[in-house]
Amino acid sequence: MEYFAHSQKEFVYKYVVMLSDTDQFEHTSFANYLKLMFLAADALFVSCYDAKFLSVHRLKLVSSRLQFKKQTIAGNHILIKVNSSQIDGSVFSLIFTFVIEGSGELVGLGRQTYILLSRRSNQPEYLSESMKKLLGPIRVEEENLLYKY
Amino acid sequence: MSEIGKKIFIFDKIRIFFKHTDYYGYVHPYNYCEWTSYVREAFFSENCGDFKKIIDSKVKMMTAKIQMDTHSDCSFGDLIEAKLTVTKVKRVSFDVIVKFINVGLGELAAETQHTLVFVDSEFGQFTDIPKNIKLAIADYQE
Repeated sequence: MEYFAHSQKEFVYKYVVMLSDTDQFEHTSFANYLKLMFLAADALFVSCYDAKFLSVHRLKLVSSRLQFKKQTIAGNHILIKVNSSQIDGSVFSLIFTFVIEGSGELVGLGRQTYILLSRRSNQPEYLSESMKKLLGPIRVEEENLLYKY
Repeated sequence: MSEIGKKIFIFDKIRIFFKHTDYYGYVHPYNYCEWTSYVREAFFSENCGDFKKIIDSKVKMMTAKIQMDTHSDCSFGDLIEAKLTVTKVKRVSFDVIVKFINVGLGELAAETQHTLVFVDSEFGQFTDIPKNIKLAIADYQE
């Protein structure tokens, strides 16, 4: 886990836009930003995705949204900063701030809400300790943030 | 003048293959984003005769935001029918709603809503929705 500011901790996933991410308009196509949110979320949780966890739990996406602020092109280095919010029982949200590394230009603002389910019963389950350990340090109060996600 | 809400565009060419499934054997939600782009582009190709000409012009169609809600799970072999309608039509933008129905179960699997905005790439400013796109969406408004 990487921390960027002294006042606010966040998980950061870095991605370099490849030619294969872009379309005929030379920009990253919108669906690929959604894919990056899933990649960043997977990267956050990869340490608790062992065989035991996966055999018992299922992390299911409830909703996902993204606002686009700036187009990116092949070669751009994108930092996807991930914070957690609204952690409540079996449900939590991740908020994503996409910026271009170096210039800090804002590329997009994303949000995903997940629910943890029992794989056997498909019923909601309380978040595991291993997940809480990952979500806790990057938790933010959204009303205190500069952007609306 | 066409009656608002009269038509729904149906795209019925989606079938679930292994590549669409996740660790648990369900459709990974990312696919609904990708299919959303297929559905809207199929809609414009079928309903807006000069769509290719428009996208080659200085007027660019951009996705400004997208929202996706997932509902029931889909698995390998399922057939999905996507239903497209349009809402919030303004001068320079409109929203596209795509509902993904699992044909076998008759259930809503997921729903996306995205905002398309038109930009004059020469001046870097928002511009009116091209006339033929406006005509194409007129009958599909919710």
